[in-house]
Amino acid sequence: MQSPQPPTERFRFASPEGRQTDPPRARGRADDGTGLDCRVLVVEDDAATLEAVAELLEGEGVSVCKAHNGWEALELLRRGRVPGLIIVDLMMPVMDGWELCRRIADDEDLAPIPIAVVTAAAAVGRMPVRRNDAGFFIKPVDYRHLLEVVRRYSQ
Amino acid sequence: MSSPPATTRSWRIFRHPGARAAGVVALVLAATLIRFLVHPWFGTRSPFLFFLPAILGAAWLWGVWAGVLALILSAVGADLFIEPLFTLSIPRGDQAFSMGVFLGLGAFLIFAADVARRARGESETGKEMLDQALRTAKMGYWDWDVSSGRVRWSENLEAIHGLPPGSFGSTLASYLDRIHPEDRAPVKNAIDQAARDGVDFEVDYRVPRSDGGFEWIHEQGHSVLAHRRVVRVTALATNITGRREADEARRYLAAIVASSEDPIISKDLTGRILTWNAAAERLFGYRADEVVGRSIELLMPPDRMEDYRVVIERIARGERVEHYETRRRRKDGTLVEVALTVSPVRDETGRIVAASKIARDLTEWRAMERERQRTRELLMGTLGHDLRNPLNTITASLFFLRRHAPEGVQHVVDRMTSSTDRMNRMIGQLLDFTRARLGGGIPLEKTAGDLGAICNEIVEEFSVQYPNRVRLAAEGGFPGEWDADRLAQAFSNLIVNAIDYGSPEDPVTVTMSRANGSARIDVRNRGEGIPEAERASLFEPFRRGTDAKRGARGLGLGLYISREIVRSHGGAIDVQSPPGEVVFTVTLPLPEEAAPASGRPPAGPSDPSRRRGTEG
Repeated sequence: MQSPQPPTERFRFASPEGRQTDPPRARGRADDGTGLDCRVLVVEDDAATLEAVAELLEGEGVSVCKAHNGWEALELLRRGRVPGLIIVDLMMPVMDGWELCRRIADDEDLAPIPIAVVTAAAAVGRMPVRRNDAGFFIKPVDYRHLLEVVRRYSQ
Repeated sequence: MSSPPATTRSWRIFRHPGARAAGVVALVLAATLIRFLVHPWFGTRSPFLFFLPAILGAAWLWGVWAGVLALILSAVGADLFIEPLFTLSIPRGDQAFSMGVFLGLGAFLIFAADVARRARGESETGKEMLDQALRTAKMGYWDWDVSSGRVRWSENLEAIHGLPPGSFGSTLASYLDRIHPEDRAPVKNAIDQAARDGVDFEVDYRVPRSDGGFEWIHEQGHSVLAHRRVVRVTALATNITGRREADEARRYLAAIVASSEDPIISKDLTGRILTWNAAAERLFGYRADEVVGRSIELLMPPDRMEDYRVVIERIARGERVEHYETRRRRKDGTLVEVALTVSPVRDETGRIVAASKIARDLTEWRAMERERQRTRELLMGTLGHDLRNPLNTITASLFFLRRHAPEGVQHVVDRMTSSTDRMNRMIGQLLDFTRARLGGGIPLEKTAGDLGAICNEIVEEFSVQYPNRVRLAAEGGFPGEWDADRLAQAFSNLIVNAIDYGSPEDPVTVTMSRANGSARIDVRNRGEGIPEAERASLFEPFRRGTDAKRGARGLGLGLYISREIVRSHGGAIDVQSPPGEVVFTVTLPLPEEAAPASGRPPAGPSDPSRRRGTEG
């Protein structure tokens, strides 16, 4: 996946700490867009949201790998990428968030990975199974809060 | 009707046998006296003549035995005037012969008088009986003599027509005048035809009453012929207003049942079908003539035989079965889902004799319900998922911009953020509206907690943005089962409302108290009151206030949702507007065994899945 051109001409990006960052470089270490150094795995079927969240996290200096559905996420995890945190959307095609969480919980190697659940659903009937619950967020997400969670688990 | 002859009544005293005997004696004495007075002229001629009227009179008035007594006494009286005068002796043979003739003649008179008397008596009794019968039957008659044109009517005929006495003249025309103009011609034609052709007739007609209503009269006419010519037409009239009105009501009801869109069936307590309307024909496929008289079991699918017996038993006990959802079998064997309402039918004595059943075809209703459900899910899905996803993208991007955009454009980010928040609130409100309207109420997740703590938390939250603006006064604890998030949403709405519409220099006060086993929360602000007319519609959805105090307007769902949340808790919300003030009052029922608040766990944060920010 081609990383988007950062709007460096117009804005100067600065981390809250004032450290100069280079978002494209921070996550652009691999061409498959998954990132070699994958601190947070974002699983989200809405492409624009996925990009925006990845950009936001990378802007904070957190390396991100992306998956568009549960299946892709599971493939990444099985290929040996073990992130510090997984942010999972619930309603997705191919494999939804519930199924992904169940499979992770069933896998002894993956089960300890903390999972934060994000959903736009008006009402969640049942919560997905998580061995390591990192939080639950309803869209639109309070990103200040999410960032705290990300920092807690991705150090 | 004419009264009985006066004679009958005035001579009634002579019903007593002694009085009759005395009457006979008086008659005979009178005859004797007359004979004595005329003696100078008659001498010993015609000694019997004057006694004959006395015998006849006695027999006529009082019967055979009175006549016989009169005859005996007359024989004695007449003997006085036979030679030798004023002695009771009959020395000569010819005199004895005359006496014999007299006795024979007297016996004949007695016999004749008796015959006449019986004939008259019978005819009189008969007439009396007929009149009595007509009065009892509330029937009257009229009799028209065709040749003379004279009409006679029974005394009660006017009363039967609902008219005051003297309303009918003595001609047929004056009688016809009283008939309703629309019915007059048919009646006249019927009478004319009877007079012309000697036929009988039957007519129903109306007679206008003074109160604007009608009396209905049924008349049966008969022509009396003599020598093949009609000499009289007589008619018997009955007032049928009551019957007619009952008939009309029955016809009206029958029409309602027949035209009902819902099948209406009645059956007796053994399950035999009595009536079957057109809608029942349409729903079940059987024509009325196919099923009336047959058992209702015809419609029962095998698995429903039992519950139908239960229904019949309940009906027999006088109970009503309402909205009983079940299945019935059509003529073609297919099953149809119906909701039944079955009621007992009682006869005049109050005995339950049958059951009336209204069946409602649930197919359409179920389809509508499915459609409603689909709409609800579509709305919930669209609002919850499809609208919030792009909003989430915007939020994430705004967060990114806030961190990285230069100072000079931060106000743009602020504006966009606040608009995004507003949009999110509206989506939340639309979701709540959809839940309340199409989903049967706002769902609650209640936990044990103190209402006072919930209110306190809300007021404190407001104090960050509006320092010293909102004040809380609470007395005691309010333990119960509450959905803390939802109630916080409801109270927030009321407080935001009070802040937005109240006068800015005055505080908004929240007062909590107990009243009749309920918690009462008053949210009060000073400022312009709400007109009475506007108050009623205040809680309606999509309501916009008439003034535009708020620059950024919402959907007008806040108060509606607050009310729905309070209602879901079994409470009520109301608004009062004393001069210069607006008070929203929420009452929430408290549990009956009100334990001290300290005995309850405090209102802690609920499940994280329930965090929904400030959707209100």
